[in-house]
Amino acid sequence: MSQAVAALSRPRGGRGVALLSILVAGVVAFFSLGLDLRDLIPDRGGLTVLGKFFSRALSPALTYEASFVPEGTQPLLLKAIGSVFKTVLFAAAGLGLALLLGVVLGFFASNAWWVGDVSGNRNPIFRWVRRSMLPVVFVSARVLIAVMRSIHELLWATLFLAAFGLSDTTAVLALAIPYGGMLAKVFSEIVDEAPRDTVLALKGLGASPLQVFFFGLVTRAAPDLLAYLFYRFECAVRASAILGFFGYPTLGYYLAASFENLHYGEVWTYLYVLIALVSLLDWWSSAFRRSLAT
Amino acid sequence: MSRECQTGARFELRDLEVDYGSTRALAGVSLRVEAGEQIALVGPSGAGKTTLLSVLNATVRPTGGTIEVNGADLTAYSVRELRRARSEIAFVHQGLNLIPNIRVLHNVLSGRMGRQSFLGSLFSMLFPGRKRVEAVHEILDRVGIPDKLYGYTHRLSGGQQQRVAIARALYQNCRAILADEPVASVDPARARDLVVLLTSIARENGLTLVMSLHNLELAQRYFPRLVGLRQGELAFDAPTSDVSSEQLQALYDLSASQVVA
Repeated sequence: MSQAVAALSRPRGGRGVALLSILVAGVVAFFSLGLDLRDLIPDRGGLTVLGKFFSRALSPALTYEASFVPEGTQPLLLKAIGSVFKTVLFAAAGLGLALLLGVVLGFFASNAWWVGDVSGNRNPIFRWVRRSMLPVVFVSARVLIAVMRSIHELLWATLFLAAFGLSDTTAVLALAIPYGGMLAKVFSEIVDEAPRDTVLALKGLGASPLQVFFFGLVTRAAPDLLAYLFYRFECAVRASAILGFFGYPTLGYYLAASFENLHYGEVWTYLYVLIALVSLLDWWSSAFRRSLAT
Repeated sequence: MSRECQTGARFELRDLEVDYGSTRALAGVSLRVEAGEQIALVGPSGAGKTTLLSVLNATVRPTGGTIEVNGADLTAYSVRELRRARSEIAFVHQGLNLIPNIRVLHNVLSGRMGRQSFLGSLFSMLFPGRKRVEAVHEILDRVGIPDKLYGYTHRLSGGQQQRVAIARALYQNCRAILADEPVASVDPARARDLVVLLTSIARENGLTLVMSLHNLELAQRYFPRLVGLRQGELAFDAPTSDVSSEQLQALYDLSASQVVA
């Protein structure tokens, strides 16, 4: 019986091994870090803070909790909505710039447009240039992308803050650089995986390599590219909110201030507005993807 | 149909050889195709039909021999000149090879790409303008799907998509249509309709038509000249009425192919 089962069982492939090693690594890490679940039991002070914080979950503040509010301060709800708007603005500006970077770098980093697909030129000089220069372009694009995306947006923000001081431009740049790298990487992969049948057809009717790349590959990959872009926009909105902790005028700025002043009701107000925004984006992007699919 | 080709292309192949690495796809093929002629390429799978059509379309360079299109030697052409030559020859593929997730209009418009710059093609895709849209509509009307102008290509049936591919070929303003098993993925009744459509369009516009076909019956019925390919070599090249059933039998005969191999 067991022999029969063994004969039937599928040979274990790389996927099973990978999954198993991740699990093993997790267990090993857990013990080597000496993780203790008792650390999650709060002390008396922590318990009061937790209690105070979560007790306001169902009663977020509608007005400021501070005893003194200066004359002419925006009402809390208006400020919350305004800061969310600012958050989206930063995310949009950052992602817009990232899209530009991603498309250009993704083009140079993809295999599709130059490996073998360029029509066979017999001119030896052209061939030599292609063979020696294009790998350089390709590799430098890949390295640049790796550098851009391996440094987190918050690290870029810290760096820029130290170098240029607080300015909205640096916040946008801090978002645009890692996101541009991520978009470039994923774009080049999606484009490389797009089916090549249309490439053949467009080449056959005399299209240039750039036309073949753009219309034959990018157009085919467009639904996947757009879906990924939407996902990245969600991430950018969250990152932009967090940038507020560094002093940029996004949601995180007000969130941090309220938290430090122990105004937990206000914290929940800001959190709910953020959750509402992310859900809205999620709904929008899935509706958009559905419209592409059918 | 004002925007279509006026005169058919002439092809002349001499001792054509094509190698893919160590595999010989075509050996010593000589063939003359006159302007406006209609030829069916027949032969078993792997006989070199697709390779021969690709050479005629200037997408595969021969390793030996010459190919002339309208008297000009393609083997001497630069990349730019090859692109220009391709833009005058339309290719209807076995797979549909359309861009699936765009509208029919834009797939047909892509036919002109070979004569446009990158920005020019981008502009005409984004802002086709009334004249271009009307021209495309006219062609779609001709191939029998005028109501699909703004339809998404991947939502059409296989036969309708093949008509879009034919429309793209027509809009290309070509002088010849090469078709590689254009009816392989449609049912017999529609296959016949498509062959009739392609042959009559080619005749009306004076285009040269070279079509590879698995279906011998269709080839014999609608084409005045048959070219048989086998193992990369020309088995016969004659008016359809002169091709004997023994010749056709031998073309597909498995035991004979083993002898040759």
